[in-house]
Amino acid sequence: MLTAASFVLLLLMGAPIGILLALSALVFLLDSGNTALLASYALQLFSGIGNYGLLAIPLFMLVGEMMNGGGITRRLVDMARAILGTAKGGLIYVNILSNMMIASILGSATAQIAIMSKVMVPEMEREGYGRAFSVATTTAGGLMAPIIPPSMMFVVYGVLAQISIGDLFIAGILPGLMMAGGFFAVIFLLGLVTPYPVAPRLDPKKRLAMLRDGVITLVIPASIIGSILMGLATPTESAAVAAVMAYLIGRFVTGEFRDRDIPNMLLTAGRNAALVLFMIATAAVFSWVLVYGQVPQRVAQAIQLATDNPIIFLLLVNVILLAIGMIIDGIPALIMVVPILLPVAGEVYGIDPYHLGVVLCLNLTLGLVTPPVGVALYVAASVSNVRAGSVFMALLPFVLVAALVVILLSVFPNLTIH
Amino acid sequence: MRRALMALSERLARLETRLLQALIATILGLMILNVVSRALRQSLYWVDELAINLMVIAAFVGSSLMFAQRQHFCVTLLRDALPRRGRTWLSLAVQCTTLCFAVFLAYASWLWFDPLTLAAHGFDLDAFFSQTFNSIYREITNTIGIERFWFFFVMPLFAVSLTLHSLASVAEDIGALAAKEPEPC
Repeated sequence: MLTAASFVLLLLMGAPIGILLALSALVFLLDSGNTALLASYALQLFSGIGNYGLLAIPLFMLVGEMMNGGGITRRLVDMARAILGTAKGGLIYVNILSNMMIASILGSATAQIAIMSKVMVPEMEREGYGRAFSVATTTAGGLMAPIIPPSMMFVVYGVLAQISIGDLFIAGILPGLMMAGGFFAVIFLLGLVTPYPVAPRLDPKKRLAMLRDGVITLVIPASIIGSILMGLATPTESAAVAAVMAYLIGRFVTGEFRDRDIPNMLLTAGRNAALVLFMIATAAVFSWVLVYGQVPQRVAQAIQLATDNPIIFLLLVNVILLAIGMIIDGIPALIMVVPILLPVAGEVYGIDPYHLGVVLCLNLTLGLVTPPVGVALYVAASVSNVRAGSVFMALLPFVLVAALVVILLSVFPNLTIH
Repeated sequence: MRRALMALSERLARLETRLLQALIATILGLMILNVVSRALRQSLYWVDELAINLMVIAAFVGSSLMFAQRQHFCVTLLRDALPRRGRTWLSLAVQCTTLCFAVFLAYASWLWFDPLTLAAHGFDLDAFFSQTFNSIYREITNTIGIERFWFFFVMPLFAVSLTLHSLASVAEDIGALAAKEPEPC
């Protein structure tokens, strides 16, 4: 009771999520009289992130920085444009397609939305699309980042659930494609109601040049997948391979990469990774304490009273997570709920941890764009200088499609094959 | 006093910045080394363990830096609804909470490293273990071959740096309240 009260109080106060978890764990230890565990507290904090899979987090963040610095993002967008750009409403499809390509390199929705908003929104505005709609489609595209592998959320979940991150990546492929297909359908249907501007025709020579420049950047996702399939690299090491490729392409192909920017890139990647890693460390302590207090077992008993059907359980979880996701950001929310939900889902309802992981990650991704605490929504709105409320209204059809995908995944576990 | 604390915190943050850059570069280098050595069928078995330990250190160094810059994830619903002065008071409360955690972590690290008992046994690690059953000084890394406590040292250091940064933030907020300045974050 005291733990729950301190948890809510710290949350409302706006305490950093890591501090909130760490202090709640401490309150629980003191309240339950398990003070002997205090001597192990710092060790638990250290060991909570002593995991090989987590090395992917700083490395993928570095890849994102290097891609931006090397002008690679821009070229990927141009390539998508050369493929689809002249169709009616082509630039919106380009937006989703380039987001899919970037999602296959980056793993963070917020990072991707920040990058793509700078590139796509001015481009769409120039062709006559409304700003809020342009931001909304870019944000929708960014929602695929945590689902299409590699995914930072999957890495975090894989570490928390102690399952194979590579298999989790594979489980995310079909849901990611379903989401992209759903978004294409939304764009097509919206186009029937409000006709889209027609894109100017591209000069064949220019089109060929855009394709040529873009194809070389595909070396990055190809190197990620190729190095894993050829047994040269683990999914974690593939991020290092991607960083090297991003450097080589940015330095010697696009020529936009400046070596003097490297220290800043290292710093940004390190700082952003530290934010996530510290939360994971404190979540590990929180989870360790919860297990001592048999909290998952008590939650399991309470939920079992409501239903013994795994599908209804998952749908219930989805409703709760949607509410949590509206208040707490994706990865912090994941870190907070997995220690409680995973044992219940596995031991009581026999739900496959990979299936649960994909459902949880996709659900919490929606929280990134739903007010009042939709970090990605605010990032997109502030980058493009538009009101978050109007972006959300334009984004609503995409959010509904993504929610439909979550429901389908909850009901049909086979969609998350691995 | 306030200025001295803030200047010290800034200096430490600069040091943490350099250290973090070096750690991330080293981790990247180690991962590349792993891929290359495996491709050459000359796998280096110690690389993974070293990279993991350096990542843990980088996480706490970077986290301390982010606390110095007040850049951690938090829910700001209540803060956003408050007037400017109310926000500064709330910020002060949050910084005090972080300070409490930092001091507690320093205490927990003290319990874990137990330096007084170690000194009482004349720094005899076997005698220390027999007396306390605390294996901190006996654990050896699996592949690197050095004692794990060298890496564990990041925890008390993190506790100290976090204490300094949060003290500086508390002083900054108190100063803002006293001078009726807008809050710093």
